[in-house]
Amino acid sequence: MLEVVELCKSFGGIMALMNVSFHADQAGLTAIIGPNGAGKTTLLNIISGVYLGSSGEVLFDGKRITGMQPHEVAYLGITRTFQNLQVFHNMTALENVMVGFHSCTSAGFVACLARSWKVRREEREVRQRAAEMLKWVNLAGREHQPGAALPYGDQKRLELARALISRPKMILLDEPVSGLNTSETAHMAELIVKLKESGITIVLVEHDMNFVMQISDKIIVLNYGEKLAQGKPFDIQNDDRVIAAYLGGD
Amino acid sequence: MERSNLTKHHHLLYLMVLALVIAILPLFIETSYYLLVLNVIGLNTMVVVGLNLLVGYAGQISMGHAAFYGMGAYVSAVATTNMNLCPWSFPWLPGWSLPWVIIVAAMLLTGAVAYLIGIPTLKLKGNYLVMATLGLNIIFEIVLVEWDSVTGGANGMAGIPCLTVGGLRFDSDLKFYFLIWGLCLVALLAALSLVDSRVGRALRAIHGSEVAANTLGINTHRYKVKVFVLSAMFASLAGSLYAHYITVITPKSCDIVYSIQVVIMVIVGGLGSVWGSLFGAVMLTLLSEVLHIMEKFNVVAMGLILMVVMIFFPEGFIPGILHLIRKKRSPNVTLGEELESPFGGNTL
Repeated sequence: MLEVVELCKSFGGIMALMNVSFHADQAGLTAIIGPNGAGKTTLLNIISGVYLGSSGEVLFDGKRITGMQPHEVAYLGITRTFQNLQVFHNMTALENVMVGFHSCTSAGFVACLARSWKVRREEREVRQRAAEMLKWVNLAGREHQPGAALPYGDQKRLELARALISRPKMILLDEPVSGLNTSETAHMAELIVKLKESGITIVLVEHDMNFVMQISDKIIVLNYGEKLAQGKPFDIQNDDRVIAAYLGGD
Repeated sequence: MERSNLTKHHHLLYLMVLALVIAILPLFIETSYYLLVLNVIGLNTMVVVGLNLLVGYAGQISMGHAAFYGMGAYVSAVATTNMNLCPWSFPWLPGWSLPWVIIVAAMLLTGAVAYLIGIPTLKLKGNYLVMATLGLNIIFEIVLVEWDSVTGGANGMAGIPCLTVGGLRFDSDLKFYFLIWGLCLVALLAALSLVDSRVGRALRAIHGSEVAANTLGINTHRYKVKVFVLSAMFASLAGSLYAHYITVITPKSCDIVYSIQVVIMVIVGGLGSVWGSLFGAVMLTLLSEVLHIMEKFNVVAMGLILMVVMIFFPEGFIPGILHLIRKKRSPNVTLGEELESPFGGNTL
């Protein structure tokens, strides 16, 4: 599904990623973990087209997506959420989710200025889908609240709904449970497991080890921009190099 | 969902009320001076509605919209006063229609110019974009003054013919009043439709978080360029109408001061508020008429107003007042979002 081949990224001489290769299986959940500054978010940013990799390539469904703009990547069916929330503060919760459907609709400036029949039909459909999506992430009743007025945990789920409404093939989640309390984390884990069961490929970055170990099929460990280990949760938990990277060692 | 339908009906209701007000207002007006002021308000409203789509909704600032206003005005003026300059002729069209064709052609031409300028400039952000658009306005003014064989230089152009439709001549303030405000209603309706649609949401998303908008499939740069073109075309239309209405234009009617004035109207009326654009245009046009006697102090007063609004009502004067009223009525309701200014708070 997703294949990352010898990806490198340098920021003015500092190597954020060095020859990172891995692949994420269809309908599987791949978690990327590693200490702070290991290059996890950089990796997601390159896959989603926000950053340009220095070398190496990213393949999605066998197609090369390195060098594509983020909106082109989105049209291929890859969406994402953000570590530092990027909720549209100037829109309601419902409208936030409706924006997520952008890539599945096509009305242009002229049609929208004239509010053609096609636009009205599309609008009704998007509105309904967005309301259903909000219900799915347990935000029913919050439709008309400004996105920025929602509590932090709700904003996290709002971003998830926004990324899911277009029914992507793959979703990238950047620290989906950071800052959430125990019950919110459990709720998020439940949603993510449901997503996986529905056949969406998931790649996520997370620091919460309990969470990662519970729901992942495969874990990639990054350290200082290099892949340290990869494997099933059990193997990773018992890998000496990983333990050394996290707890310090020789 | 009900609420959204309700607000949509509200918009239509407001438009109808506005149409009614427009229809009966001339009955109470005796001197043509007041009609002139109303017409100027109408022209400003057109520019401000378009500019608000760019500044208030998409969060991209333009300090050069007077140039697009001027392009509309000058293309109309030059083409209709020197008909021999028109390389084309339309034998199948009645003669009176030519100025209208030129108005549309001016809009398309201005749109094309805005497109070419927008591609590089809209890659810039914040203050750099302000500088680039300001520069555009200055260049445009210099071209107008120096290219006097075509534009009449600093003296401008006079004798621009008035518009006609068949036997109807738009030669009085009252007739122009209905033309301008009719088009204003259309502009308001179009803008209201746009902001509450796929495209409008995409524009607001760009303002809210460009990176998030981009990763959701919105080609942010293309959308910025397109809304820039659209707002330039609104300004061009207003400029063309101005030329045919006043029948005299000079480079002063599209100088930087006008660019700044319309931006102030957007801010005072409320960033990201179509109805606010109307109020901003009404308030500041009236104010600048009242302050006309003070001549240069006019500009000082404008600056003061801008400062007061930015400090006390960052989301715009009208939305700010509405918030205050709502808060007084039901103090438990949270204020909701505070629209972040695209100026980042420290420009100007």
